[in-house]
Amino acid sequence: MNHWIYLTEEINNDDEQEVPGNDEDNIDEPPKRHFRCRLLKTDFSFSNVCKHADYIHDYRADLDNNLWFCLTMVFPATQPRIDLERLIRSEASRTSITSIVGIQNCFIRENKEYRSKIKTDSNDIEYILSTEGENINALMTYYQIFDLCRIYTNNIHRMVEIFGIEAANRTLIREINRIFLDYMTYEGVYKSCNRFGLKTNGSSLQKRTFKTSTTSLKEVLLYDEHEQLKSP
Amino acid sequence: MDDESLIYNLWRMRRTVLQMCHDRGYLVSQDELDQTLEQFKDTYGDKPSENKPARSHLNVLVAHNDDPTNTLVARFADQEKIGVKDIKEYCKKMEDEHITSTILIVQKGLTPMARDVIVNELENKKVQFQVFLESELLVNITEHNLVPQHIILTPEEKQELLQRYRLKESQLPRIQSGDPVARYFGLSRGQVVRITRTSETAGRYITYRLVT
Repeated sequence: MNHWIYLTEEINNDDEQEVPGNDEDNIDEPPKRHFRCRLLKTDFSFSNVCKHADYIHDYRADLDNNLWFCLTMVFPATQPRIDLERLIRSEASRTSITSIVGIQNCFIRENKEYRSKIKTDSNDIEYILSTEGENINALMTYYQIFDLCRIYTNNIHRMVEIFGIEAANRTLIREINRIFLDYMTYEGVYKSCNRFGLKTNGSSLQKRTFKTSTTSLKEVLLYDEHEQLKSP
Repeated sequence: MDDESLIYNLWRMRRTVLQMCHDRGYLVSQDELDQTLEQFKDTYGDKPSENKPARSHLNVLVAHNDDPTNTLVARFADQEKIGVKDIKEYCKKMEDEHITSTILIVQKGLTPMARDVIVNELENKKVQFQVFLESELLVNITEHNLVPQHIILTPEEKQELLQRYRLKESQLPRIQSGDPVARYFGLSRGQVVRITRTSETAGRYITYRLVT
């Protein structure tokens, strides 16, 4: 007897996350599991899919719209059961669905400040997308999603290029406020943000990355200091 | 790109262009500034892939508030890449129709030769010819939170400013003519803008910049 597993994938434009649907385990019918996932632009022709593994028995897909596909895999009954759901979940989390040049990673978080302003509706939540790396021009095309009047990067060169010198001025003020002010007053005394200011810094490696590296290296060797690889 | 997003982009671009004309002091009716996507589709059609509308249908011709002979035309280019021939054609049209300034909106960019033609030929004449990429006009940058209000000073106001503070022109802070905001306002060398920033400490802070 053969063990049948049907996998149905559906596309849903609003929802890129994988959402497990209702499991309809029935004795007569083969178990069905539904997954929603955006299909990647790969070759999904019958022959290409089937040549990936021997156990792929049948494959049907909506090749016109890339909306769904149905994959039938056949395993001998003697084989230990495979937890396909977990397998697909772990694969899906490692697969990139879409990417933009220049952006390596991104996170979505809630904008707490926005929520505190409008307390009337608890469902009215604003989200912030933070990215590692930046490509403002590409993000500009997602006008339906983002509030482009508040798009921001700490890359001051890009701000000059796109929004002009005055916007860069504001960016500088914002960045200094955010990072350097805390850094310069961290030790309870005002210290300058240069190699003299860095002298009191614990990390010898950090000192060495900014000017007079040999002096710093010499001191480290003389006094037998250790590098903890920690910034303040 | 499908029709729906293309028409949306065209609408956004045209809206930015109209706002730009308005901010430069040209006469744009409030109806046109407020035009919604639906109204835009009704007026120009909603199938840009079948040239309904073609980009050139969206051209804008406006006259200045104070001086009706000062006219500006914004041309949307149908061709993907603009060459020397196209530029010459646009210049000729400008001369024939006595237009003082042109904004050309290109899809992908200019050929290097065409760029040279603009720089060389138009320097001598008393006309303005600006080129924008479509992608630059999807968003009106002056609506961005971090871009403060820029107001262009008239030559008289500039003289008054210099006299009041006993300044030489060179002592003013500067803004490059290639700056996105300067391009938005079509500023030329020697003009001065008044910038009203919001400030955490002072509430409002006014500064000036000289276009270089």
